[in-house]
Amino acid sequence: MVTLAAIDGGTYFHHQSLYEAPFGHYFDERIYVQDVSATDLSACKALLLPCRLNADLIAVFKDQLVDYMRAGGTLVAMGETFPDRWLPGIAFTACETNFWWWVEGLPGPDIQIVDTDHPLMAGMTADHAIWHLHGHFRTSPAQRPLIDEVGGTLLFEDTKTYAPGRLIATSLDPMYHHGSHFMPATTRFLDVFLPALRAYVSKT
Amino acid sequence: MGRFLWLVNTPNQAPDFVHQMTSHDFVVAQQYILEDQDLDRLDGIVLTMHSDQRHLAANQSLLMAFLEHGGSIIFNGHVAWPFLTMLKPFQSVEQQGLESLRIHIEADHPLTRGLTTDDLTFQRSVAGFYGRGTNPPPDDAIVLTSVGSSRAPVDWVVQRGQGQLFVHTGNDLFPFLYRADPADLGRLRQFFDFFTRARSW
Repeated sequence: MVTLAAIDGGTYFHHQSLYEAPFGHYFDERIYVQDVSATDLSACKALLLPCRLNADLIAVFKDQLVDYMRAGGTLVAMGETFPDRWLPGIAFTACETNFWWWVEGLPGPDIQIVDTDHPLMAGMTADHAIWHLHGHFRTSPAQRPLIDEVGGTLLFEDTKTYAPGRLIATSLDPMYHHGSHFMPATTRFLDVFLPALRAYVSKT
Repeated sequence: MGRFLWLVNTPNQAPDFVHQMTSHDFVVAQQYILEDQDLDRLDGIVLTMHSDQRHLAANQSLLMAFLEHGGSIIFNGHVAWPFLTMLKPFQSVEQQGLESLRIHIEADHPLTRGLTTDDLTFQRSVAGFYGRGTNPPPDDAIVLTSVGSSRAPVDWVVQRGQGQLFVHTGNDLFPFLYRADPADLGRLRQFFDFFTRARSW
């Protein structure tokens, strides 16, 4: 059984985040995006869609992802994969990204770890999730917020809609920036998020 | 007027200034249509930082033939999957303060003319956006810019066959060229002028 697999979109930032140190060892398997439709996903406990994986490509195999979750798989949609465009029931509002709050002397994103006892949030503090925002989710009752900001939710888990599988979605985009050798805060986020994710899905 | 195929691999299209640059003709399309194009009609292919390099590697012979026959390839990003025979994997530079991220202009060349080191080093007084390492160039490349005290090549151009390969090691180069002359788009126009070939058709 594969604990954690990821889809590889062939970009350099996917390569850096999924194959290279310090995070490559968290992934047991990488599936090239053009091979997904011909791949049996059922052997993977969790499948991660890395930041900025082209939503137009994901839409091609969205039914396969729904079937994967309904069969018990955990799907993790990272920032800028726009799950609202290929899954129903997701309300997402993009925001104008302020990349410059730290230069302009403005306060940064007001991050709240909503559920500090959730295993996915093990070791996570607000400081780990502060760099910039691309948008917020407005969660439904089935979607449990784990990280919030004043404008809405940044990371949620849904264990009901696709039970016995689940969806974890975030609008944060750490793999793009870490994979670009840019923004050390995003590396710190992955330092705590990826081991927590792996431990969480290992127990299920 | 040059004719360029601008390949994207995001749901978004190319930046607005692509369509404001009336001196050249840009066809913006998703990357995976590459194999279906009549490349002989093009001056160049623009590959963004979001490129699926595995797909490009699968099309290496097509891209090399395009260069041989006089087309240009303009690549932005870090090389992860060396998709052309003269590409090698990206190497980062150690980031320790401003001097490690300062961009140096290494050649007086049509592609760098009019640009200053500050145009490329800073964005809102912050360094590090333009380049943070090198896609190592082949020996016969002209190094245009470099980064840090080690002068690691960031931008370079090399002739292969009748065509030119241009490599920018970093996020897409074009917003920097836009900001260097937003009123006239002169730096952008100059950039694409260089890759426009004399044509007989």
